Amino acid sequence: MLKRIVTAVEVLALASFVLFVALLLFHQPSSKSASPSGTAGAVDGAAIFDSQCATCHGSKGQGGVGPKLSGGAVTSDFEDAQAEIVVVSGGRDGMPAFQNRLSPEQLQAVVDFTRAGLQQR
Amino acid sequence: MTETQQAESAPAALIFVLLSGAAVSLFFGAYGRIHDPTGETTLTLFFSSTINLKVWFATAALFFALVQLATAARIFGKIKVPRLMPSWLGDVHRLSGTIAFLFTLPVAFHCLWSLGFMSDTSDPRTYVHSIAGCVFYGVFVVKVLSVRIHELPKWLLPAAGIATFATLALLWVTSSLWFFRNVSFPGV
Repeated sequence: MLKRIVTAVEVLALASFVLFVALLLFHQPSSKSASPSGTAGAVDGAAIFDSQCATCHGSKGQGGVGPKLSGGAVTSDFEDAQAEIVVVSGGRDGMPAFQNRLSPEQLQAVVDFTRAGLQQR
Repeated sequence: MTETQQAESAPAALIFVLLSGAAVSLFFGAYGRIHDPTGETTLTLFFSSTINLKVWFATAALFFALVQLATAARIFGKIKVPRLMPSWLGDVHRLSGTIAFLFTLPVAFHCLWSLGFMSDTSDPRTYVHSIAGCVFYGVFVVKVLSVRIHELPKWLLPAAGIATFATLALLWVTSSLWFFRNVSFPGV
């Protein structure tokens, strides 16, 4: 019985790996297909913030290595999103530049998140 | 197969296995560099975000890899617990490794498709994580092939097994552990 389960799980793993490679090669991002205007679309600013920014700015934007972003700090430092994008893209005062790490859509999404969603965390 | 034939085929089989692993690692490395990262959320299942899913799936993968490491240690006689080896231990060994592999796939998909290869050396964590992620599937292929191909040197299977586990542990340290320590200890 256990041998049958092992074999079944191995077949499932092989099929999953084939699906994994196929999705990598052929799965189209929804923002490109559903949003021809080039807006941020379904790009997840929160996920980008958690993976790229939270280590320095804190998971709730409370600050740490980097300055505080929550409690309206980011909107008072940057009156508009474009000014914030310039700093996130090019870096400043020890903050790394993200222009080569994130696409313009990702930069827009993460900046939008810091100005809205992060303030409610 | 005679011993002479086996001795002659061993280097060719070893080269084939190592080249296969290198090809897989290079494929994922090249994909990560060439593919334009989408930044999109992928699978969330019952988790509140993809990041939470990744953190816990990677932790689950490490847990099952630990089970595989422990069962391998018993099968190779490196530990003596349990004193009498159960007949099902080999099946549990295979099953735990396969489940660990399955848990890595959604995590790797988000890393490669959504975030891409991070080649910025000013951020050593993501740089090391990117390299280890590509190496992992290469050493995994070497490990699986070294189970299936019998002409290979005897040291290859344990070496590939340890390398697979070590790479997965490095991936976990540079992702989930980092997340637990620096971001949060997320619920589902």
